[in-house]
Amino acid sequence: MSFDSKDRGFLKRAVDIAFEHMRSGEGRPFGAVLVLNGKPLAEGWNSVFASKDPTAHAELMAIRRACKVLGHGDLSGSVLYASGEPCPMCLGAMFLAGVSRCYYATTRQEASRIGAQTEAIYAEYLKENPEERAIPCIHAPMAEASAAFDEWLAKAD
Amino acid sequence: MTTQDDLLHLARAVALSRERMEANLGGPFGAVIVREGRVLGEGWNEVTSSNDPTAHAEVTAIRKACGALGDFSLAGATLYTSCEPCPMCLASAYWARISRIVYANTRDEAAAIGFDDAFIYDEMPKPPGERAIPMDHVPTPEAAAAFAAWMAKPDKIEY
Repeated sequence: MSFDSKDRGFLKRAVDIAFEHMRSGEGRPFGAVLVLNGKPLAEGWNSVFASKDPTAHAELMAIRRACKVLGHGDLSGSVLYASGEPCPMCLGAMFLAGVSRCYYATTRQEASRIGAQTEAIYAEYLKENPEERAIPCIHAPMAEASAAFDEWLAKAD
Repeated sequence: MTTQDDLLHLARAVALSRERMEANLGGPFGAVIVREGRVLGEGWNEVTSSNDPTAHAEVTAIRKACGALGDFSLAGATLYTSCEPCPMCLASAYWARISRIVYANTRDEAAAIGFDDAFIYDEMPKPPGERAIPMDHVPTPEAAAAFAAWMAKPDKIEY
C-alpha cells in the first residue's frame, strides 16, 4: 500500500466532512471524497436524517455527485476516501460505478459501537439461503419476468 | 410462502420492468414497496437515462417511498422486485428497515442477460484488503474522535 501525504489530506477531508455534517444534524458521522487523477471530483456525507433517505450515505452521495459532474456513470480510475469503512450498499455501488481503490479510517466494528448496522448487514451475506436472512427474501418465479429478460436480450438498441 | 396479493404486487413490479425498459430508461428491472396493502413507492432501473449507477429499481423505490412518507424507515413494508436484489439494493433494504422481499428472476438469470451481480455477491464476504477493489484501513485519531463526538452528542437521532 502506498499512502502518501496527499492521500492523508483527502482522508482528513473526508473526516472533516463527517464532523461538519454530524454537527449540523444531517446524519451520522460519515464523510467521503472521490478523487480522480489526483483531483477531488465530489464529496458526500451522511444526510439520512435531513433527507429522510436511508440510502443517503456519504459514499453513495459522493458517487452520485461524481457521475453527475462527469455526465456518465463510469468512475474507473477514481479513489474513494471514506471516514468509515463502506457498508455493503456503498461497496456494491463502488463496484457498479467502477471505483478503483478505497481508503477508510474507521472499521465496521467501530461503527457497531456507535449503533450503525454495517457489521450486521455484512453478516447477512454469509447466509446461503435468502429466506433465512433477517429480511426473508422469497423467490416467486413468474413467466412474465422471464419474458422481460428475453426481451432485453433481443432488444436491438 | 406467497399470497395472492403478493403475486399481484410482484406482477406490477414485473410490468414496470418491461414498460420502463421499452421506454429506454434502463435495464429490465422494476420494484414496488407495499405496506398494509398500500403502495408506498415504485421504482425502475434508470441507470442509463440518469447516468446514476445507483439508480436501480429497488433503491429508487426506497427513495420514493421514504420521500413520500417523510420517514427514513419503511418498517413493516414488503419490497416486490422483478429480480433478486443486487448486493447494493439488498443492503439498502436493510437500512430502510424493509421487513420482507419477494422477487421473480434470480441473480443467475440476471447474469445470463449481462447483469452480473453474482461477482459482487462473491466480493461481499472477502476481507477488505483482498477484494477486486483494493481497500485499506488507515486509522486516524480524527476519525475516531468523530465517532466519540457522535456518542457524546445529546441530540442525536436514534435509529
